Amino acid sequence: MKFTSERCSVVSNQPITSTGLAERIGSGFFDPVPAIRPYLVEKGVLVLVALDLWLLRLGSASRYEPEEMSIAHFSWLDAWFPVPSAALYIGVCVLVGFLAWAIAVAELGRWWKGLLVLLYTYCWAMSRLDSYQHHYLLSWVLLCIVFFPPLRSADLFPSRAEGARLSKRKASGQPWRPCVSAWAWVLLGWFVAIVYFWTSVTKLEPVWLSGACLQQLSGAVSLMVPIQEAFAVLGMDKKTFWQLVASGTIVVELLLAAGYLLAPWQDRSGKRSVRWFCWACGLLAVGLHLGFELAGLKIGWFSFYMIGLACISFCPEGWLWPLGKVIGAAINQLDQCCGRGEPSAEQAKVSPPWIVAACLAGGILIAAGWWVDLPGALPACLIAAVALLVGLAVGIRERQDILNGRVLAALVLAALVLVLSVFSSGARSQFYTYRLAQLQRRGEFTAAGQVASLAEAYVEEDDLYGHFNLARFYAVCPTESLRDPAKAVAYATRACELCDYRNVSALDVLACAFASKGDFHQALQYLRQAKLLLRGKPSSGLLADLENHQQLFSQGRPLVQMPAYRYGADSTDSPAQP
Amino acid sequence: MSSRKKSRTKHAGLAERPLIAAPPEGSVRRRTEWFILLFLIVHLLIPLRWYVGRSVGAEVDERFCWRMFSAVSMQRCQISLWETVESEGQLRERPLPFPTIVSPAWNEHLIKYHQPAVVEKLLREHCRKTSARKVLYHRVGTWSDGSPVEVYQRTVQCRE
Repeated sequence: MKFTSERCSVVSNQPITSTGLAERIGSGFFDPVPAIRPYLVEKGVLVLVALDLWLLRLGSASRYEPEEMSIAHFSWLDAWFPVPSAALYIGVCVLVGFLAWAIAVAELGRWWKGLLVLLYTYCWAMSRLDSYQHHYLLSWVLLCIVFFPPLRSADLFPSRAEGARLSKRKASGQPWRPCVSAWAWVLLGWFVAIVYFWTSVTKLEPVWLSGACLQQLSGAVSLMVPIQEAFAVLGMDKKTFWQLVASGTIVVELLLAAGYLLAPWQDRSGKRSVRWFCWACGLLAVGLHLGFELAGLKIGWFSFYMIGLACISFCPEGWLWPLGKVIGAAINQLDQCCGRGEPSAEQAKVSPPWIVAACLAGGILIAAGWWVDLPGALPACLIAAVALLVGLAVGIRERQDILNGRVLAALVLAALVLVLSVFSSGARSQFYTYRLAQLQRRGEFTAAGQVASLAEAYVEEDDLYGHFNLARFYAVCPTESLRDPAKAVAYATRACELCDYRNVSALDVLACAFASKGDFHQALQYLRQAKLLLRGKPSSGLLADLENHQQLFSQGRPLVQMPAYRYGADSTDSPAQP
Repeated sequence: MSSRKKSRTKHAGLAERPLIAAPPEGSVRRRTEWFILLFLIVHLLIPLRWYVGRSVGAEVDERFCWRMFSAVSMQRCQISLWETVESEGQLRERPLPFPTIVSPAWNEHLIKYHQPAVVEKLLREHCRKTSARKVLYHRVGTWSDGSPVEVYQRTVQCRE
């Protein structure tokens, strides 16, 4: 463990005479901060990134199809890199997750973090289909993390004896709470401040200020109804209330921007006002982002990243050390179990047990890739396994501990988390049922038939869209050998159950399923039910579809789908020949 | 001791603690300072792209501009696509079944985010795959308050 002999003296708190504000701010970037804050941000962001990719983004990979139009965020990506496919996207997601996990647990160095930034950025930048701003934001957050000082759990949370040796404060009963000069941590805070600033500027538009945007969010409306009613009692009309909420959001975001600028100073400054302001900002940030979540905005895990960042940035330092201690203890324990510690020259040499362990870890990675059963996952796991073996080979040649036990343990752990994430998230259900619908849309029915069996194997009990797609395929597939009315009715019935028979498309597909079975009476009954749901609503393509289907079924003809659109020919859903 | 003084004493403790990573010095420090300055300037300027672009009438999208929950992103829009084809020696304009031409993912993207580069690509792709002479993209919609959004129209001449 290497420590400087210095203490955490704070330059920016000392009176500055001739240097001016710029230098004062500059020194503020380099002044020490409690090591726990960047440590927790690094661990938290890395683990969240891995879980975010595996739980949320693997399932949506089916949107990436080389056959479809493709446009990357940067034109040079289109020129230099292959057209994104589901396999490529999943492969990159799996690798980024492994890397994030390994960096968090095995505490790998800066170059690995740099590689993570590049791969993560490629993951969203490969196609504009991923236009979530928080993925872009995360790339910058990860870039800041690259420049965090190396924060090893063993340094922050040394064993009792080690801690006493390192610090007289420890021996005198004071807790071991080191600090670090972490300019990138301060920069991260300033970057987030800039993001909040621009977000608030966005909301200065008249449409936002009128409160109309907020009222468009049904979740926000239901959330605010009790408050609005309370204000109504005080005589405030609905319009003024929503204008107030809209303007209030801008004020909160500006306050948060100021809070993030000041956050690094809360530990250095003795000023109570700064600390109170930061705590208030922490509460505001949590309230704002919880509000976004409760309003039902579909913004992935953005709120959770921002809540986590706010808690770590604004909470009193004393609250963070116990949390860090739990994480640090787990990593240190792993370190001890894997026999790394501070390796002696002899230990550092690669020994036969390590070779066996590395091969075993590689095998587990490959097994995970196979078990996940998504295109691109197995090649990604193979790449990770090969990287392990290359590390092992270089270690043997150089007689160095390049591949330590903690890296092996981290990757094995990552493989297990990947499998658990995929099994628990319904990613395969989403992936295969969407892929089925896509193939069906393009008229590739044979391929769709192959995917349908996978979709059936993985469809989640509560996946409405998945059941709908399966039902539609089995009901209207033009290839007779692939059509299966019994399955169509079963899947369509489940889809309708999931939406409580209140979804027009689900009822329509149930009608089509019964028609494919020859039960036109039942089919017409469900069509009537679907039309009732559309009563009073503006005329739409959906109603026209229902009427077309009704006409067919009245004539005793089931619906058989043709490819929705083929270049060079007009074709839509068309009836089967009687 | 007043509470204010107590507070100062407590936080002066930061200076007493061990430092496990020292600040950079010399040329590394100077390079770091330049990096920080550049980083902050870049992030302050990138979002200006949208505002400046709009003010000069350029076609810009909201990417990288931190325009979360912007009024633009909450517009309710409808898109239609028309192609001009030659039929029996005459030019004929006909609507295309837009929602089925592109995948649902791109369909959703075009409705949700208005990105002129994506529209351009869509039209060029259509030109490439068909014998259409001309293809037109038409986008209408309303703001959250119900007022109409300025109609966006883009035409690509596929071939003479």
